[in-house]
Amino acid sequence: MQLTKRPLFYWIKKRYRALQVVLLLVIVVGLFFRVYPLEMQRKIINIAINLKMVDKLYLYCALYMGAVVTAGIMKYLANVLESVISQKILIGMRRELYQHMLKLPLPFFHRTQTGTITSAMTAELNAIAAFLGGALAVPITSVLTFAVFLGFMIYLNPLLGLLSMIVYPFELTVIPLLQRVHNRYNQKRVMVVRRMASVVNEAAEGIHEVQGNGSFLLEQLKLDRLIYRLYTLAVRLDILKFGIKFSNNLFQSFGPFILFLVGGYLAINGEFTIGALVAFLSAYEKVYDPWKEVIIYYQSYQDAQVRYRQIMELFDYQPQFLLEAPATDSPPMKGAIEAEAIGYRVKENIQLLDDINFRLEAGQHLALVGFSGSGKSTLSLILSRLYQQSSGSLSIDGQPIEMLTQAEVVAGISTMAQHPFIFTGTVRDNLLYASTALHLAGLKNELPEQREIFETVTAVGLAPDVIRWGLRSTIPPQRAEPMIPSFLKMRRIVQQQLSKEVAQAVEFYDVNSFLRYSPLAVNIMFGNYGIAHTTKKLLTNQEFRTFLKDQRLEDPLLEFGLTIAAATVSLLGSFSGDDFLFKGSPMRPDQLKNYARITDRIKPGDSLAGLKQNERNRLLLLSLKFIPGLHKITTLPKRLETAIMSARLRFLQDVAGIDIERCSSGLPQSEITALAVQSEAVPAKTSFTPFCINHYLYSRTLQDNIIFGTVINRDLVREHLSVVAEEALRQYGLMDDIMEIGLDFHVGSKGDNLSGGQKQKLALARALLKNSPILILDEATASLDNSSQTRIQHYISTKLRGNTTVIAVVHRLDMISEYDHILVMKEGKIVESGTYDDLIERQGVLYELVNSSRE
Amino acid sequence: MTILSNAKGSCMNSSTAAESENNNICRLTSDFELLRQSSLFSGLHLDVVKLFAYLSVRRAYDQGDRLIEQGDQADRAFILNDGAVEISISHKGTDVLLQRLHKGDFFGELALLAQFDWFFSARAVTEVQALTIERKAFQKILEKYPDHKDVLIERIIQLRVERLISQTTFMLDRIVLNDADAKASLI
Repeated sequence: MQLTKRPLFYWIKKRYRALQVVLLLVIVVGLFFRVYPLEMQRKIINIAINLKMVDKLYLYCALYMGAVVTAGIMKYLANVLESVISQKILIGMRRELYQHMLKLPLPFFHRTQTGTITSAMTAELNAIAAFLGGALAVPITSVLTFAVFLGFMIYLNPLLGLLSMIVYPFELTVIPLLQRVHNRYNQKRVMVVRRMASVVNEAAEGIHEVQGNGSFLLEQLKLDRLIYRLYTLAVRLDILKFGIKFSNNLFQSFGPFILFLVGGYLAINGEFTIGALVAFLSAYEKVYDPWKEVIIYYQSYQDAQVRYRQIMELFDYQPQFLLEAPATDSPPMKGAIEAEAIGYRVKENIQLLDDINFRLEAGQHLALVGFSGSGKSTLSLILSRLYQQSSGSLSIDGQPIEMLTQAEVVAGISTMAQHPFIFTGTVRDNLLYASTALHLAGLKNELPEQREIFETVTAVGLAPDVIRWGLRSTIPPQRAEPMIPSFLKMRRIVQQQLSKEVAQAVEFYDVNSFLRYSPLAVNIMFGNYGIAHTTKKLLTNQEFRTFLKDQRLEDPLLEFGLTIAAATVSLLGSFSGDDFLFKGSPMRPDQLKNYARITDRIKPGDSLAGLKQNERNRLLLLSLKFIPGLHKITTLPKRLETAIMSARLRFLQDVAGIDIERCSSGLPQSEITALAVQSEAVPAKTSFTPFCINHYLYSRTLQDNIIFGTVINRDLVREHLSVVAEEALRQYGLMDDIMEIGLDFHVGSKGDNLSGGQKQKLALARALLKNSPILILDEATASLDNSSQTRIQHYISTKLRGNTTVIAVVHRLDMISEYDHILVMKEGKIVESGTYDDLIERQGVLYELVNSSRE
Repeated sequence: MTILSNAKGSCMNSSTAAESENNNICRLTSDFELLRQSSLFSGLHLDVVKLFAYLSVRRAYDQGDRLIEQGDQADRAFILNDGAVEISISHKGTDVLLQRLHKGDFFGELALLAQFDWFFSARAVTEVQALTIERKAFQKILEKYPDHKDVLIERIIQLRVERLISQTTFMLDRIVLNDADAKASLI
């Protein structure tokens, strides 16, 4: 049955039947232990108390308590089981619905707001789940319980039993009536909530426009209407809900009234024992429980039904493709394409494409050329099977496309859209997106190998970017270990070749100069502390603390910390919580309050005597983390800078035990291995890793390590470093390793960390790595510079010709001579078709276009 | 609220308290002065200018360095503090010079308003000191001071128009003069 046509109970009836039976059993057993105490109540009063038998009293009380506890445990078990079942059903429902959604035709996504889809898939499904678990067991038990208690009452006194049931018929008519009205409002409420989700979602996605236009009020107005509508609906819903509750309570109080009246009369006349009356009252109370549960069940059933129907209506489209496993005997697709009289019409009979005919042998290349709006992109979407043509037929390898399964189409055609979508994740995730999908679907045996990935990345011109990403990564020690000797050699090359060229962009680690782009702590130690350098840990190091005191650095640092704190609190006090604004201060936004408390009491220039130990630590932390070149909040006093510089030499000699001469000059390359052993022993003792030319810095990026300094201006470094670095990486055979590391670069949400050109190269590499016999490119290189475009075009026309059929929408006319066949389009029709030479010779439309673009 | 007086005060205080020994110039104050006198920020509320000064980043370039590379993501605007810069566009493989800018000039100001890839390059022709303002900083500050938005956007557009006029004039001059040269050579 099609997913969206299934009734709600389909999911319950077909799933986890065994668990549901267990649940039912647990509930029935629990039920027995709920009736049992009533009988004990009667016996306690009528037998034990009346006959004054203490031993019986003990026995009955024990049995009573035992039954109550068992009933409680059963109830607990039933609740747990219910929730397990409901969550399990929810998993299935959500997965199937998501799969269904992913396969819906594109027009569905154009028509439906993303927010609506999101909220249907998430919150609304959750609301249904709560109902699902007990959907079968709860009504069955409630009815059973009701019957059992009723039976017990009739067994005690048939007349009284039947009398107390008088109210239920009334309730059975009134409550559903109210509930129906409730449902209607509830339906409206779901719609309004969805629209609200859409509005919020839209504002968040279009936040550039909103903030750019200052349209805060406009957007607010959109939401306000919905907010008030929701308010009215919520109030009405509650009025009804409490109305139902009220009428229910009212009816319920009629019961005891009748009971006391009739039962009391009977008891006075001696026709009914007191014990029986007490038991009867208890039973009547208990009858109310299942009744209440039935009502709650009824309400949540109605609620779930409303939500369920709305979700299913939303997704009620036929998926575009019928999914079938690929026929195993079908021969591999070659890629010959034939289009016959293809037309595409949208609503209101606008003809976007008309009578498109062409024939392409496998491995041939076709260029689509034409004015904007001529239908090139639409045609490429139809060929990619993302749109369905309205008329005409399309065949691949002589077979009508309708005869092919979705699997064959997906595996056979690779598409790159004009504005490709980049997924959140790493570069590798995106590169292998298409191949992984085929692999998971069992359509491809292996993922592309490293060599193939690198070749493709290089072909589209993404390799320099990948190398740069690799260089910018901080690599975990184990991974870095084998490469360290080579990196250290590269460091020397860079130092020799680049130190002059990148002087403005890099601050080299020079033991004799103050490092403006390193924190004060690093300046004192001229090195890092621990493998992942943290200043907070450094503060707990006794050696370091003693050193600060001995050098009389602690007080000046404290004073400076106070200055930083005061400046930050006064400039950013009203901006707490905004990371970005705090980038000019060593303080974190969440620390603001703590520091404000200190600066409220003690101002810069005051005596430091009043500072508590933890406040001293806080202020020290602040000043040790201060980076003079980056933190603009205040300026480092020259006197402190000088003091730090003279402390540095003492620190290196006395605390770290480093021979400064040897550290900065390094040893001849042959002795590096020997030193590596030695250098490992030094940090193990003190945990200080000094900036020595022969030490790898684990807490720094590869680039920092090679450059042996802090990069101040990335853009400038890139320009100079890439040539030297690539050369050196190749020389030491590290290129593959760096590229591997670079492929793990995180592209940010939807590829935010990438430029437009990088996105396009990445998407192109993704399409190429899919290795399909047919490749469709819609202005695949439009955002790249000329030389990259030419290089990629060259790759396509040399490497792909003969083995991949290529259909490309081309906007640069100087490239089309490389194609086997050219279609010139205008207003949805083909105006010219032929080889480049033919068309130029004919001196028609293409000739005009080419000539006008040259002028 | 007197963010300005406080912030300025803290800078002033630290330098007056340690005036004799502190030779490091207070960067915040000098950047503040530069921005306050620039065409984009002149006359704005001083608190706002102060925040811009605080969030702006100084960058130094050697002669020949690229400040902006055509095709890279545009994320910041530049104001020249010292030195000269040449703006050029690479067209069909040739660099076409468009303009030469000097101390106090703004460029890349459109990056404050929108995401795009640079459509021109900027190269340092001398040693250059520049102050850069990220789009994110611009957005954050205007989130806090939304009533300044209109003025700033208008000024950015005016800057852009000025740039367009002077660059177009420069190009037209070249074309006309080249043509004149060509005609002269014919005769």
